[in-house]
Amino acid sequence: MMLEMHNLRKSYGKTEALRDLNLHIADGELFGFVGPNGAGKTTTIRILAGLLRPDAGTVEIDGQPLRCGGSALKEKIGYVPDYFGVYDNVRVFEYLEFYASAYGITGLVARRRYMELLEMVGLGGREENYVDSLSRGMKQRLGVARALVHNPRLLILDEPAAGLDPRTRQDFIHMLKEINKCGKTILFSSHILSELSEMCTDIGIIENGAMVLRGSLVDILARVNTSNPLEMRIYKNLSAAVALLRSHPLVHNITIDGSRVVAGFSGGQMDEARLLSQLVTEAGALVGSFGRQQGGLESVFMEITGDKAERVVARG
Amino acid sequence: MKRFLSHVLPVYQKESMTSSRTTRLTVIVMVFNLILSLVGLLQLLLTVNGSGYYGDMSYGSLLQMYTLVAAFEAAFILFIVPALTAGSISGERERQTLDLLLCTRLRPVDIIVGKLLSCLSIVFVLMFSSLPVLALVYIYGGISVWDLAVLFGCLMVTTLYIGGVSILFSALVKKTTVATVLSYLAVIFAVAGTYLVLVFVFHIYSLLAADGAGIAENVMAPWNHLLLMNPAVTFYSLFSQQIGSSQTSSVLNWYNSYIFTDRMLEPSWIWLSCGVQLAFAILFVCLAAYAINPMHRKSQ
Repeated sequence: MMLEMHNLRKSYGKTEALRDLNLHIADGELFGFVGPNGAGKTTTIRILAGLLRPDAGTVEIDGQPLRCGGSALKEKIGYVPDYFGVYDNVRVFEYLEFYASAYGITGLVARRRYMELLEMVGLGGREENYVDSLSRGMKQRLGVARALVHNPRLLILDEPAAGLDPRTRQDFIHMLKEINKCGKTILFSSHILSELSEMCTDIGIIENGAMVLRGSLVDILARVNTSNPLEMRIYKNLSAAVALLRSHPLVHNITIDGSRVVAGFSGGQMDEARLLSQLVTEAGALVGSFGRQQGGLESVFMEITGDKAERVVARG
Repeated sequence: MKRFLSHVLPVYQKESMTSSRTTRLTVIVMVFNLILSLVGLLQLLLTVNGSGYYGDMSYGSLLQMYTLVAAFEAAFILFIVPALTAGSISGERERQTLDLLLCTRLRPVDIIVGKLLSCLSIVFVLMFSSLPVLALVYIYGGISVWDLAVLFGCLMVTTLYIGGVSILFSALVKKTTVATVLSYLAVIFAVAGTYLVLVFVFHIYSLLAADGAGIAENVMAPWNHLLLMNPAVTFYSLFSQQIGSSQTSSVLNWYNSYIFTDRMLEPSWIWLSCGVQLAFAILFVCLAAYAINPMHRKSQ
């Protein structure tokens, strides 16, 4: 296991930022960390980066307990914050050389390392440019190169794609996938859920300082989809079909929009099949389509963070 | 030692590189030497002109030229060091690079010492560049190379002392402006405040003396040690020993005699005051390192 967190707690005065947070990330995983503003993502990440002391709980990275100041552990972590952190009057290669020397990498080894990294992040040929002259996207790539300069095993990124245009964001995601393929474990926090669903193998949703859902993206989407409403198109005998639905014990909150009927359904897949059969045989309905509404990561997020009840009431 | 250097050098090298790329250092060196040259040459001119009237030249006035130039040098360093160091940590915080540094293998104390050494190297450049002006005194002699070395040593200690307190404020407050103001207040306290405290204490003792016979000399003796923190007194003591107290007293006679005792004219005073100021510098560095250590921060 690359990262293990147990019962992590952190408070700022009377405000509890983390409440017994548990998280496990396996080696080589590309883990997406999702949560609304103030959920505790940045606090968690800053604890992992050694920039904040937890009030309670344990963190282990690659089997070693996290203690701030432990240089052996700092060598295993690369941290990319949600800001750039660049110096004026410094060239790209000098910037990387400085951070390499801060990890004790100097001379030709450092040069070889940062040249490789600049190629990897798509900044090859820009080593002589001044850092403050780079675009936002380039600075963010440089930030990733900086975080990788000491060849860490775990790369932690706190909303790195925020503020990037869609194309730059796509390129950035592609770059992270490539880095992940090189064997780096990546923890990536973001508000932009579509980018997490594109790239992450696993996700964790944090709410009010506690992990409320964690698993592989496929499993989470499947799990949430079974709680999504049924959506069907009925072209004949609509009134009989609706009457059957209203009398069905597992159906609730029916919405009718022309031939499109959306209804809450608390049954399983077998119950869905039986309902379809009843609509066709008992109500004589001509059913064009029938199935659960497909939810993306956005709907999972809304579901988990407590917005669903409001949505159902508004519809029904 | 090798380990220490490998930890301190990255910050030192980066600071030296970035500061050398701005015009700030050039301007500081130019203004510094311009003032020193003007002071030195003016004093030399007055001395030589005076000899035209009287037909002889006072050896003491030549030595006063050394005192004047060296005192200006010390005053300039007291003035410039807070400006060089007060933004060192708060500037990193404003650029959002402090956390990135703290994530590396560097310890907080390495970052602080690297910054302080960078400031020390700038002061060294200033001192080295002022050698030609100080060498004016060698036209007639009277000051040895050892004397100059001791002067430079004291200037280095003052740099570490004032730089240390400025870095501490830089680590404690978020804004560079606030850190700079606090640093200058600390310099004012060290130079004038310590003296004023003694004046205040002296007057309190005088008022408490019931018979109006004045206070005994030894009553003030423990309080006088407060001046060990005062770099101006260190330089006063240094100049007194190098060129004789009768010369310095005419230059720096604003120090009242009842506060400024003979004890301060002994050679041990310089070493003691340098030791005290170095100890304070180490304390300030440790406190600054403690202040930026993420494990001691209470908030995000």
